[in-house]
Amino acid sequence: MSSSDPQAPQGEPVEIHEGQPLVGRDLRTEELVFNMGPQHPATHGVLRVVIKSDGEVVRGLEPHVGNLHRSSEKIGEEIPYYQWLPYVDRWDYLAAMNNEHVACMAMEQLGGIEVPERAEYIRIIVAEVQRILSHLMAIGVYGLDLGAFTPFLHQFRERERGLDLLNHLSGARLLYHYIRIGGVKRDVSKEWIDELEVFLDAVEKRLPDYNTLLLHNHIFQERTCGIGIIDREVGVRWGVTGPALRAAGVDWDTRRDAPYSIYDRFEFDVPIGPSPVAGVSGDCFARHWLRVREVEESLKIVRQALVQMPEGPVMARVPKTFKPPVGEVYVRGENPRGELATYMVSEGKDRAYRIRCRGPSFSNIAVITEVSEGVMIADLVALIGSLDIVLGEVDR
Amino acid sequence: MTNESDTQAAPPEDPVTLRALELLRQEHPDAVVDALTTGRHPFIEVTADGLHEACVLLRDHDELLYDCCHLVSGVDRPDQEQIEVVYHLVSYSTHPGDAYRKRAEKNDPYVALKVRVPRDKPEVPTISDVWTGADWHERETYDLVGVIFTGREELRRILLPEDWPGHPLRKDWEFPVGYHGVPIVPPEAQ
Amino acid sequence: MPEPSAEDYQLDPELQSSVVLTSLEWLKGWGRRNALWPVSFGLACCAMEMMATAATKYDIDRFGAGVFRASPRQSDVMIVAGTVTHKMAPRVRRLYDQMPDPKYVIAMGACTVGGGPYVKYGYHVVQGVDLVVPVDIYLPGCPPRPEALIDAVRKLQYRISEKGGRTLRFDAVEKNREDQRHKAAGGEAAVQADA
Repeated sequence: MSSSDPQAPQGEPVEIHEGQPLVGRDLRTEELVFNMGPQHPATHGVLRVVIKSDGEVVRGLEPHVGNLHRSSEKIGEEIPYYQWLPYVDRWDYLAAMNNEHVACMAMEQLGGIEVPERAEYIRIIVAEVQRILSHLMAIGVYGLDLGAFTPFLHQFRERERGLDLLNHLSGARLLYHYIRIGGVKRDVSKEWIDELEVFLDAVEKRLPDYNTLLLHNHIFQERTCGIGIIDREVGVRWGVTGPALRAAGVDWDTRRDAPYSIYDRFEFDVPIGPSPVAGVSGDCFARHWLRVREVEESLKIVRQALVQMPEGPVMARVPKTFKPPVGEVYVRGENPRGELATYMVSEGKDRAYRIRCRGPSFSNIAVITEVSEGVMIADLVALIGSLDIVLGEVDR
Repeated sequence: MTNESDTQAAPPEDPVTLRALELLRQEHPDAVVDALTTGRHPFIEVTADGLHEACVLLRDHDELLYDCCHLVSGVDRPDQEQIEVVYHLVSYSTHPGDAYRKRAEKNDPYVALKVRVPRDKPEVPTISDVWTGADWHERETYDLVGVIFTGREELRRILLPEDWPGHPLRKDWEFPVGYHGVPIVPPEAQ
Repeated sequence: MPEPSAEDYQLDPELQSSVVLTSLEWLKGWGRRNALWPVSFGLACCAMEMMATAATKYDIDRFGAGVFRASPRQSDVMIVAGTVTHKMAPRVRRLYDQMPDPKYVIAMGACTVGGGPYVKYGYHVVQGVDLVVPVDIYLPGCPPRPEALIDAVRKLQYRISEKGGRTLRFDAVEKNREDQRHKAAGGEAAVQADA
């Protein structure tokens, strides 16, 4: 907006109509450049966004990332493969099992190791349980971003149950180091499976409560329907993946269309936007609705896996020093936030030559540069929250 | 790339890489240097000058439709005095389906491109005008490996601070003594 | 926290229920430790455990520390939860400076205590947040359990009651930085070579 010249003669009196912006010869407006983050309650971590705004309306913004760059790729070149594996948990720390799954698959493909059946089923079970927990967190925290505190506390109730479950299995609440090269660390017991079934029933029973609090809530719908639309063309061009892309109507789920591990043995639907409840394709509401639907689909997958799981060993015979032959591999998997991919290059040593990770949130957050033109700042918070980013995998 | 003798079955060739290679050789024969179409990671090596037109073809051709640049990586190879820039491209418009998965050793229909540039002058033309998502990946490759992408808006660091010394993922990079007053103890001293 | 009992001062029994005899220092400490308002400063994975501690199962609000303020100007304690990188370090320092006295810092998680798993080859990770801000309580763990964070808050509360709740001085940070430089230069071996 240009500033008006104070020396200029006064113009005609401005008639003010409702809804019209109040810009007259006397009013001087400027574009304001300000900073959101890296410490901010609604940026989901250390994300810094430099916003150029005209009052409350965003005219342009630039995300600055790298505040959590922990150099795990360089560390991968310095230490052996199996020692490096715990760093993988810390990329997307809300979906640790999924990260481990992808990284271990990459190493196994490099080394030509075949994972036993039972271990594959256990991997799918924990990966889908982790997806449920991650989506629950996303649902609750999104409510928190928009000002609703109750769903956040409610989802923590189910999440604590699930975290206890994974704690009993692996020994840790958040960063497990459970999926190892060649299988999983230890077998599941009958008691754990009973606990798992209790957890699944509890989540299934509580999902309608979350929907009442958020999805069917009039205020939530006003704040998210039609807001922050990322349509198909923009999403694909920017490399957006996962629920954010499926909400735009793109029918792709790596578990179904390029299945890894044993995902081709399960029957599950892939929900795509727009949501039938409200809203349009690619808006914040569709992304949120999609995550709720994906929790339901994950419940299905876990139940099928429990039925199909055979007996057997849970770890393949892997040599003590894991030295895959010279080669490279590119593996992608469907993480709760999108497609996590790992490109690993091996030169025949016990440590990798180059490990490159593609965190889905890296591309998901880049897209706000384009879609935030003309958005109000409060809607920007809704947009960032609906993309569900985790800075650990943005910065690695 | 070598064919086995008749008594042993030839390793399966990746159909998507083969098709992309055929079309590239047809439209832009000067761009293609080399290709590996078998194994777990088939790729097509292109020249730095031919990269842009190859990418446009891969994105726009009706049979290919690689509409997403999934990843751009840089690999430092000091023993060959080269830096490899590897592009992984993915399509959300085509679904090869079960028929593809049964034929290929890799089950994922991506296409990998490689560009090899000399280590002392690592310049590669940008493809951020072909796929906007490649912009941030290119910035990261510049930031960590030091590859300079030409023909684009100003190349800035993305993960590391603006005044960070050097490119850490180079094999000959050394730890700085400290950064703005905060000392760093290098791994040798630990 | 030993509260001065009535026997110490030989108060009349009728007065015991309505009069409290104490020192001003103790009273200040009591007020400060039972209303420690943290600034919400979650950086990485430990932030998830900090959120879990604030949620209903572990509920840090029972100890007075549940009111997470978004602005550092309204808070008492900074729970640095997550890895501090060199890019982030000046911001951590600035936030610490913006907090009014008396202020405390809990270094939560192995990354803030001493660099954590990234200390050896992680070039961008500050090897311990005590190189940036003075730390009162170190809480190791990767990530520490919510019970451990509650223990850290309790320890901070004991420390406030003992020492009256004064802010640590910045000299501690300089000393830590000197120690690191000494270590980087070769540590004891360098000292002996000089001698």
